[in-house]
Amino acid sequence: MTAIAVGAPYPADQSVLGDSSARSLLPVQAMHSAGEALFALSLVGSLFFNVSVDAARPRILLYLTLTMAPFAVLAPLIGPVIDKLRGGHRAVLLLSFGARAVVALLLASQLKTLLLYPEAFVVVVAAKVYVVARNTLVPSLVADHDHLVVVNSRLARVGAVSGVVAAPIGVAILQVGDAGWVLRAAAVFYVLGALSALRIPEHRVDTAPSPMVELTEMHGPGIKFATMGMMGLRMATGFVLFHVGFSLKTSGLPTWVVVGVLVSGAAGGFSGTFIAPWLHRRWNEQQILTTSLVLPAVAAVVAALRFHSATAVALAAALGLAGSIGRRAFDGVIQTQAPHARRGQAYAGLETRLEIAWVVGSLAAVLSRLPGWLGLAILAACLGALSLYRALVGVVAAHSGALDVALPVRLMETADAVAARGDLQQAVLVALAAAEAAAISGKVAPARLAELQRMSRALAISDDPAGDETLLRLAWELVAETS
Amino acid sequence: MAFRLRTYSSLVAAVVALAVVLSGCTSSTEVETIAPNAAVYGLVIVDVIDRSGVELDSSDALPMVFVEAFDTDGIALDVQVDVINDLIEQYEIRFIDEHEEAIAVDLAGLPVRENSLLIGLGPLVHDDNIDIRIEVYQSMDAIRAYRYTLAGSEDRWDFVGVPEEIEPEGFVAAP
Repeated sequence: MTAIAVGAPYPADQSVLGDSSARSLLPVQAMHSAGEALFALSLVGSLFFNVSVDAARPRILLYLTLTMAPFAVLAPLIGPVIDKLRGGHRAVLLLSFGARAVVALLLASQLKTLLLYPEAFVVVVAAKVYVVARNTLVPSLVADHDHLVVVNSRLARVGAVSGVVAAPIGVAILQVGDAGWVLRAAAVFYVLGALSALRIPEHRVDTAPSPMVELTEMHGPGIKFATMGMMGLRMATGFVLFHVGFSLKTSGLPTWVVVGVLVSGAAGGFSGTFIAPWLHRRWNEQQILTTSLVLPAVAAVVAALRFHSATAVALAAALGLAGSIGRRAFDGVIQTQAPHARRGQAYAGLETRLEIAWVVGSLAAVLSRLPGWLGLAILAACLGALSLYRALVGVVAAHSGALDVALPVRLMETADAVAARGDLQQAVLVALAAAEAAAISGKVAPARLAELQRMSRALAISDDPAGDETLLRLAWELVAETS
Repeated sequence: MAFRLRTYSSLVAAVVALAVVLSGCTSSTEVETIAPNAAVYGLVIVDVIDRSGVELDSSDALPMVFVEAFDTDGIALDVQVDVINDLIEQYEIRFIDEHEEAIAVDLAGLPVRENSLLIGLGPLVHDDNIDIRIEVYQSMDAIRAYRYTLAGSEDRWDFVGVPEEIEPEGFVAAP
């Protein structure tokens, strides 16, 4: 079930970001995180902590449900926009930052009104649109698909540092002013983020893989298995945000604990970017994802046994750490098992599923109205059960090879199916992708792959069915040697 | 490219400028209207705090006052918001669901957090006037209850006589 050979080093950050257009995303990410940290902090001075949870619950439920709606249309919308529209990715990022800047300014004078709920949820939706768009954009910006993990890791690091730096700024503003001014400061960061987004170069997907290749890659068992684990983590994050938020209020803990929770979550995420490579030298990606579910489960058990400021902060840190480690492992699986799926459409679907998982977790917390300890105990049980299930499946798969790379073989099977339908040209494209995927293993002489690529270019001009069949046979031979 | 950059920048600047204007407008021209129930609650809360004689801590910010509804249906969210905003210049009102939110359960005598008060609001009883039972909890040994009668209409309410001190019911076994 090894996704990437255990211990295989990731490329150094310097080489990845030194000459990559992905570098232009760093200031955008920094502004996003700073804005989000200030936005979250401003809620300390909002109506949220003044009204009773029971009275507010129906309204929170309503807007959380409404949050689902944009995501239902996000996947089919964002992907094509990024793929087809010139500068489309910039437009989506600008829209996200612009909406947040405008709403933050409006909310600055309405924190103690009922407009808090719709306006806050607009910011939440816009932030999630940003996350989906950014994660969709990264693979098309990195020069080499092998660098995806490192670029995402660096982005996470910059985001965490920026959030941790922005939080004390927000606290200082709260001391001298009020939460409205914290939101106005957030709006400044959102505007700066929009301006930074303008500097992102127009991405080009140098090779346009067949949609069938993307489909085969993105629906591979390894990707599905990793997505399930990542969805579990996202669901837990959404649940904890609302459940712990309510518990903090009803248990009468001071509001500084909220700041502590925010900062510790970011610090956990930051630490994760350093711990993940260490884990990667010992375990494969799927094992890391399974382990990352255990950490917040343990923290949730501790918090359930005794809920107070220290355990709430520890839970946030554990979840931030697990999310960061899990994300890096998830990116690693995508990097190896879906090397051709670099287009927006393929990624947007995946990222949208992760965001929907967050909303589902949040809804569960708001709907359930569970006592603090019980909610955390159930969370721990769910995370524990998911990690146990993943561990068992992992053991079985290690013997059967069900989750193993096998991408080239699956692609060749798809090529055969397409050829059987009579579409030989499409089959050749898929077979070529299979050969490229096999070449990633390093067991294929580059000359053989180059020969196949030359052959496919010649076939594209000559339209020779016999030649197509020969290429398919050669591709099978190459894949069979490496599998 | 340069043209598009300028267009985008102008667009962002225009949208932000519009939002700033709108943000300013809402805060300055907003018409303040509060629900009748909220006006009654606001009046009695201020009066009962004055009667308690407690010096609320306002060293860092507005003094915090915890409020609980004795009515099983609770107090509607929009009424809570109106009460909070009605008293926003004097107190930071915090509506609670659990006693633990307001009461330091780990301290002797079970005092209210931050040396504050917990005010219990009974249901509003409407006939010609409005009757309401209010209880003030400071600690287990300092609980007082009053019955207020108010007369008036939607936009103006006044006390009828002085509030009658009664036996506490809501906070007796509360913590």
